[in-house]
Amino acid sequence: MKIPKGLRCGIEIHQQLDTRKLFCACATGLSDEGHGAYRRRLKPVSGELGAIDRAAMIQYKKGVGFEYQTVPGLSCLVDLDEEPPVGPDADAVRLGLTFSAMIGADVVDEIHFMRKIVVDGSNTTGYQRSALISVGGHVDIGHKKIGILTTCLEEDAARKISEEKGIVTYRLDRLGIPLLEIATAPDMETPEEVREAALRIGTMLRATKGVKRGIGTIREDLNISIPGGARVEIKGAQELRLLPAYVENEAKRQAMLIEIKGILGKRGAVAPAGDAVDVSDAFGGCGSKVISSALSSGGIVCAVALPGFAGTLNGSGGKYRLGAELAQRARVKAGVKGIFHSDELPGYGIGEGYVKAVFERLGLKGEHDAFAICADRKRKAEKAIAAVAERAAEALSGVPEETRDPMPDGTSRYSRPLPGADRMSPETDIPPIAVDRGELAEIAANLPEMPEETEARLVSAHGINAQQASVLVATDRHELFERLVSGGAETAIAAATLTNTYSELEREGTDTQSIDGAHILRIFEMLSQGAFAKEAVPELVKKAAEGVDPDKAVESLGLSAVGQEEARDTIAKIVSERADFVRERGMSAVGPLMGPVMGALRGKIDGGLANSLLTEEIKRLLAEGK
Amino acid sequence: MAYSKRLETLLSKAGAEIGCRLSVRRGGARFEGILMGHGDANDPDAIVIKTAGGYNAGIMLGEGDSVEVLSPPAKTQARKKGTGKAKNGSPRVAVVGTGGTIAASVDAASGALGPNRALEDLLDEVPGLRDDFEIVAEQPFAVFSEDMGPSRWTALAEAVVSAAAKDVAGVVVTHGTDTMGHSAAALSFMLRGIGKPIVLTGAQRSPDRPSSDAFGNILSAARYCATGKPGVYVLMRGGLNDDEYALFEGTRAKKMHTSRRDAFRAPNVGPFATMDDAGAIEYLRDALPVAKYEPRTRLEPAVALVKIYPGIGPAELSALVSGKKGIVIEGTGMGHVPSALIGTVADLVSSGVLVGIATQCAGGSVNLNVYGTGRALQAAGAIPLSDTLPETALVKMMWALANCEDPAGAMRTPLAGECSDRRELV
Ligand SMILES: [Zn+2]
Repeated sequence: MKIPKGLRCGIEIHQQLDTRKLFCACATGLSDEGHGAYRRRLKPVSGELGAIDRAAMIQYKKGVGFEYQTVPGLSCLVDLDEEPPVGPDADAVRLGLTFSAMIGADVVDEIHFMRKIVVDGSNTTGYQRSALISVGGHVDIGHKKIGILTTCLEEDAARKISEEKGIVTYRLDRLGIPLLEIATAPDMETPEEVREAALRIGTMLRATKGVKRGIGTIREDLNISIPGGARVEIKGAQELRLLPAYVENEAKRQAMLIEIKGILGKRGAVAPAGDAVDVSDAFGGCGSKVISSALSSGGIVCAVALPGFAGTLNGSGGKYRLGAELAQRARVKAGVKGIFHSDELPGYGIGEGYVKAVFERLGLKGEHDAFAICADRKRKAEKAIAAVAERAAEALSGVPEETRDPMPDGTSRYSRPLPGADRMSPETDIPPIAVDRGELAEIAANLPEMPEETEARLVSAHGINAQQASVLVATDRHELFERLVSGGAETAIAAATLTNTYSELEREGTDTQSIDGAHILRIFEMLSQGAFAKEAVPELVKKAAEGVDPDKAVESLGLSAVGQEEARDTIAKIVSERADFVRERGMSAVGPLMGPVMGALRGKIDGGLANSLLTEEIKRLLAEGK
Repeated sequence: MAYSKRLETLLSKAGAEIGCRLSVRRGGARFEGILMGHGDANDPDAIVIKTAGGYNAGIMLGEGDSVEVLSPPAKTQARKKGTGKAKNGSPRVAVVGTGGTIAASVDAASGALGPNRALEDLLDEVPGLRDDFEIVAEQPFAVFSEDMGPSRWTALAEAVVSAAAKDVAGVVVTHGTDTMGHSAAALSFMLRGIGKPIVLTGAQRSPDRPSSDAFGNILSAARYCATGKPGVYVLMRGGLNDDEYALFEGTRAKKMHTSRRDAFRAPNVGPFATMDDAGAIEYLRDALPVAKYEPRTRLEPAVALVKIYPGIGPAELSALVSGKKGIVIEGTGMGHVPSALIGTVADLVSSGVLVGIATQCAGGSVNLNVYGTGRALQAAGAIPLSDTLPETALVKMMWALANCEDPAGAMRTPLAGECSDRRELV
């Protein structure tokens, strides 16, 4: 299936800042360990429209539903909501102003922190503090301008650690880390543009030199729609390389749902009657494990008729997959493992006879009629079937607006309906912050070097090619490169190492982000001292990626203190072992013997030196023979 | 701060009123949003607008900038009232509201919190309260508790007396936490012998936040009223968890933390009882013996509480206590004052001023026998107040001077559990 025409995407980028926390003096970082468990609950407060979140209220009445772990140094009374906020952090505000200036946005004159109500426990207060810094501006990708709607400064949420027996446990280390939230206009029209825009914004953010780096420090929400589809939000994507896949798969999913709408419309299908029918008695002796174990533990098999839906659940050779949508909804809403639907039956141990019996029990006779069943405890199964009926009804009008979770394979899964407008109210604990026009002017006059400026400078100052410069900037290794070069490293080797060697390592599945820059600096320092030949660099970088200290690696690889004499001995041995070959070929034996020589020396000496030593040895042998 | 004259003119010419949708031009920039109120924290040349995402922002309008009204204010819907109806036979509990953080929400003028939430609205928001209790609410006044004082203590006591006289199981008093200990002490002396639970409670987080402690505290106070022992108590969180509550005798409760939910402690004695999330009470000691109930709500306001500090001299002390009928001195350690003040104390006593000595230490008792200064203070006629909290001593002296024939004797006698001659290892 091709990517449908008229695709529109917007992204919202959340970038952690490398400052202290936004509203307390805690350091920012994540800890593998949390302490204690402070039990809390959050009451849904009525919004400006007076609506109360019913599910949240039921949770509140049940009792404490959240537990919080603290981390010394990374959490304090503010994070635990036992002290009012202090701040905002001036460095974080300045980064917001700086980025706004970089994109040419209009900065507000008074920054007002707001409370965005969130009662899932991820904020101890029950709200996220967030402020609008600027509106407007744009970023360029190729020849296209991508509009920016807003740039906001907000606090990150607590990290969810576990969920058990109705208690969600969070750790407070991440709570309060400043985030810049950049929302673009829906200006992207292809999956690749989405990746480019995200990359561009990410690179510009890093150009401020004030943001955190590494997995989880930047997260993207994607808003995707196609004509006739609906706005769907994929929330919390962390891997840039997967963004095009999310967009493409979502666009195709919407196109499929639009086609299914057409099919259902033609058949005159109507919303399924929501009532679940207990069809347990039709499954006596059924070989399906799911069904027999549900029945034997007192559960039921519950069914819903889906008249007109046959072939849309899983049909046309896997092209139509509404069944997967029904199953996801049932999983999220009822917590069941899954459902079965008639497009995939007989199968899964459910024989033809059982399928016929269910059609009969539901009174379904039409050629396009279908059904779905769920086997579980009574209440759960009924809830699952109600969710299936709800989702099936939505299929009649095409694509439902929803929020989806990104999956590591580039697809996404239903998580919840699209939330309404955020419930915002002023954060009374923080007075409005006046933006100083003088500071803004000073920021505008001293903007960080834009990525393309850095690239141009790398080319002109160091003579590397544009391709290498662009990779160095895009991968955020240009600072390390410049430190290597200013430390005396040979430009070509440094550039090749940070581009080719790193990408080879990545192809092999190595996480190059974890390489300690200090290790790379040490490798080049030793290289310039002649401790080993340049051929050994890739291997040492590989060791550094495994966390091995370069000095130790040099030792363990046998690279250390290999003198020319030792190399000469090795080469002499190789030449004498192949004396007949050398005598036969004469000086043209140099080329063929370089292989075994370099293999034996394994980067202990430079290729050029090896070549001249080999030439000398061959000359000597040939002279001896005369 | 009000708008500047120029901005006021600009807005009125454009016909802009709060709630209307505006398009704003500031230089080359354009903003759109709903016009919000303007408070003391805003620049006189800035308007506050709510943008499409719900964010507020201040925009400064200078010469040449303009506003255009896009649409008039939307009609706001009236907030729905609480709907819970108590089951027949549910306990009746009175609630007397006095303001405080527990009744706070944003104040338009300052942009900060004000004690402006109507009591009935607050009670409507307490999950389960109106389902389980029949509530009789009354709000004699609404202030932050730093604005409490002798006349409001009397007004509060009278409101509690009349509420308790109705057919109720007990009375919940919602109160600011800053001086809730003082008010609880005042009620403890004024309403000695009241045969019902009187429970003061407050909040450290205002009820406009999902994490507010207001709701749990009010519900727990009502639960205590329904089943607890009589007397005047303070109820707040008993720890940092939302399912632990603690009660303290009114004369013993002290705010020991500026912001934690479990800010209240009872130095020297610890909590009187704890309560869990379901309302189960565990008593940690006996309640005070019930005295004859004769409410006496008058207070003598001319009493001062003076904290001793190194270097305080006779002139400073005299200035602080001029015109007073009684003073409570918060002495150092076991109740000491610089020796230079002994003569001033003696003069005060001989001119008929009641002088009591409490300690500024966070725990322990006054003892004026151990050191020479202490004995000199006793010889000067000062009354050692044992382990009575200084703020409780202040209120007790106001009450004793207004109601007792022998105020000095009253100060030496435990009347409402305010002091003890033994301290356990707590
Ligand atoms: Zn902190």
